[in-house]
Amino acid sequence: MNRLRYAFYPGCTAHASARDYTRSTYATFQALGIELEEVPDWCCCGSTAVSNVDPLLGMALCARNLALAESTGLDLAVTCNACYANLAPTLEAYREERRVRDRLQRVLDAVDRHLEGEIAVKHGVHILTRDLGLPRVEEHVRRPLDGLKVVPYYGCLLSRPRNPYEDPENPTSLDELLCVLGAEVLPFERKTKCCGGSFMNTKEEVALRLTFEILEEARERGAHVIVAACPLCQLNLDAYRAKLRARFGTYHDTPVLYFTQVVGLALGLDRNDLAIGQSFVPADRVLGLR
Amino acid sequence: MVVAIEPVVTQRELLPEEIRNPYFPAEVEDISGQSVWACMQCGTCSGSCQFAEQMDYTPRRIMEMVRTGLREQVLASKAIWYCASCYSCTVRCPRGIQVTRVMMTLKSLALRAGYVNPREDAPAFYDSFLRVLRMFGRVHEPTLVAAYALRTRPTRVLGMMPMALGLVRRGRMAPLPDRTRSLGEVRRLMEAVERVRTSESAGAREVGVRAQSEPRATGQEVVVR
Ligand code: SF4
Ligand code: SF4
Repeated sequence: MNRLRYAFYPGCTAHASARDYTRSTYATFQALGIELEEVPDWCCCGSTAVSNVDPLLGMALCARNLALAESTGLDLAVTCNACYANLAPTLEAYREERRVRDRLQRVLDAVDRHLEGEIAVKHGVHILTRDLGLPRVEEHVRRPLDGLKVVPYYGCLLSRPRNPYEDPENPTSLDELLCVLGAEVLPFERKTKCCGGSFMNTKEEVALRLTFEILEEARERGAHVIVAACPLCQLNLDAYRAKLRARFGTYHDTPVLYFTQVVGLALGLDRNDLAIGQSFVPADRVLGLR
Repeated sequence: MVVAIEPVVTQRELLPEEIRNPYFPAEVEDISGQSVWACMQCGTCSGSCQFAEQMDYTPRRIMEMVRTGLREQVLASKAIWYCASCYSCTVRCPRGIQVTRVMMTLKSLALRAGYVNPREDAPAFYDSFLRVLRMFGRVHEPTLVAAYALRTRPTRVLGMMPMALGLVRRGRMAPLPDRTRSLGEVRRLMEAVERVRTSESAGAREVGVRAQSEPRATGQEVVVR
């Protein structure tokens, strides 16, 4: 089988608050024989912030990044849910909605870029579970995660508004992936509920409540680790524990790891290469359990 | 026998023009690409929304208010700023309406038309995001959060310090903003978006869509149930 190769859109947090995610992504993908080439000179995709104040600008930023990626001749890999939920729907609208295509082409012309719309955009989770495939992942497992209880947290934007590989209400690919690593995957009712992350700066009360509910369910179910597939979800669930304790009186010590870190561990990669020690809530104790 | 059929006049059409802007539904449909008239008022969106409790009008009511043309009331509402763009409503709407895109459209119109509710921090946050984007082409969170704090409550910076330091200490955070090399291109792209928009709203005026950008502040409220 040919080596899998993708153009990689890391997104802004990869170069800011989630360098650990980027590091573990490169390490794990490489160990699985998947090559990632960073999209040359990508810019911000606009996140939900720009789509909210200026939907056309949001799509235009995505269109530029898609055009840059398309010019590499490779399909596009994305590991941030917010970037994915911006880039993939923009591509879809570009292909299917005449008006959107016209508007975006006028904008792209102004910066001498061209988008054919032939590229495919995929989230890292689906590159592992669909493109590479679960049996191939399983072949690479060197240190199965026996005895590790995990809950997968998909967040809002991995399966919504649309993902060709997921049921928007009940996505399963992360569950399947964690299963082949040997982990015990617990049912998790809030796996697609909003954690309120986008409100953490503007409506803290509302955001804290939602974050608390997710952490509380993970604790009640006895999870050792919460597995996230997005740097924004990870940060939001990981970094506000002291505030949550002050507000609700309960301290949650369940660590939140990226799926790339958890897969990497099962492949037998080094903790440092996976940047395991960089989350706010340390994961060493629970990982030592195994 | 000849039966005279009375034209159907809905309650909506009886409202005076100062309150009801008949062009509003078309304006929203044009930007969002969603048909507000397809809504059957089932309330699935409101039932799926984790933020409906905090909103002054639920998503279903917002849809009806848009159709009724209550432009001012909708754009000045708190509800639109409580939408977190989680898409729960969108995947469930039985009429296939992307309610999230309608909400995004309403927020963008509210900002453009100056209906910024001073009690809402969200518009300031989004605006800070745009500024940082224009500065670097990429968004560095500490810079964004600092810009936002300075615009709203500078003491906020203090509350954010532990988080920022925590990130730096753990080696997760690049202390300095990263930038796109072709920043000029990103700015040209932003200008091009502005041009496309202005040329379209000029076109829309010609075909008779009233481009209404000034808040009218009639202060009158219509209750849509
Ligand atoms: S779910 Fe759809 S049809 Fe039902 S009220 Fe909401 S927008 Fe209207
Ligand atoms: S997208 Fe907005 S309106 Fe829809 S369910 Fe989520 S928060 Fe509510």
